[in-house]
Amino acid sequence: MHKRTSGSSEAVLDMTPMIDMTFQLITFFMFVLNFSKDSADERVRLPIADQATPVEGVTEEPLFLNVDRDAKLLAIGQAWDILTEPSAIETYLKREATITRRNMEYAASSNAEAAADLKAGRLWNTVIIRADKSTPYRGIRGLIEACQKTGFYKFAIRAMPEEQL
Amino acid sequence: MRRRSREETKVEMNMTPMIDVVFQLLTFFMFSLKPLVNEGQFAVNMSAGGAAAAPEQEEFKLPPLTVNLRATEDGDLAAIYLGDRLLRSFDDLRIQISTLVGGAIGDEIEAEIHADDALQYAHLVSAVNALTAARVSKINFAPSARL
Repeated sequence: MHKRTSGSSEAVLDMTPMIDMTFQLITFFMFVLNFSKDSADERVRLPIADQATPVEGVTEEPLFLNVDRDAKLLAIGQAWDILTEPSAIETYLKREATITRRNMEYAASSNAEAAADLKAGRLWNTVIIRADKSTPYRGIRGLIEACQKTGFYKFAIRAMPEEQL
Repeated sequence: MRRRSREETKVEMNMTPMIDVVFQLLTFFMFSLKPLVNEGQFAVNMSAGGAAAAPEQEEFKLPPLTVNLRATEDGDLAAIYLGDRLLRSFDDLRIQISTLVGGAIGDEIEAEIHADDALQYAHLVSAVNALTAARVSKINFAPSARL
């Protein structure tokens, strides 16, 4: 066996494999990271429905309405009770509608469809209702009616196609 | 100026700051990661309030089906009716509607769900699920039956 000399006793740690692996991990997490789900509140327990169409791609102009188990609408860091605070919700919806109308007015100059929708009071947004499975129907109905009153007419209701573990 | 000897020309890069940053990045991405949950959705077309309804072509249409969902005080499902007919389950609802509409194309069939105020949303979605399975594509939520 080759005996080491006292001069070569300095141990040098080879960092290359560790750095390689770390970069691979970073790349993996970067690709897996999904920012588009940020509008989906995790506190909401969605009902299960096997016929729900899987959500693919990006919905244009979505307006997410997350309603938790206490029937509270979770939006812009606030929570309003959908049963007892309809005026606060209406104010929120009107603000969202104003933003959309501004965008539509901007688009209407070059887009006839946008001009027609604007004239008819039909807003572009798709209202995506993500309500907790225990929310009472009265609240959901009130929410839909408030949206309709504001000019939203496209709705989608979210559900889980299968039970999550 | 002092001239460097051959032994001094070896350049060693200090890896510590880079490894620090890389681990910080790794930690950030690991904590930002959310498990990917595949959600599904039902598209529900409803007219906007007042006169803002979308214009529709005049054509032959089947009368809308009326589904009534009754709730207990706790919000659980008490009974399902298709028109006046009491049904046993949402599977029954799907079968009955499939039988009723026969070979009609989905776009021609409309359904209106009337539900009690207290009914839990999960049961409402189960009704929408059954209607979708029976190829009903236009679903409306009627105002509560017990206001």
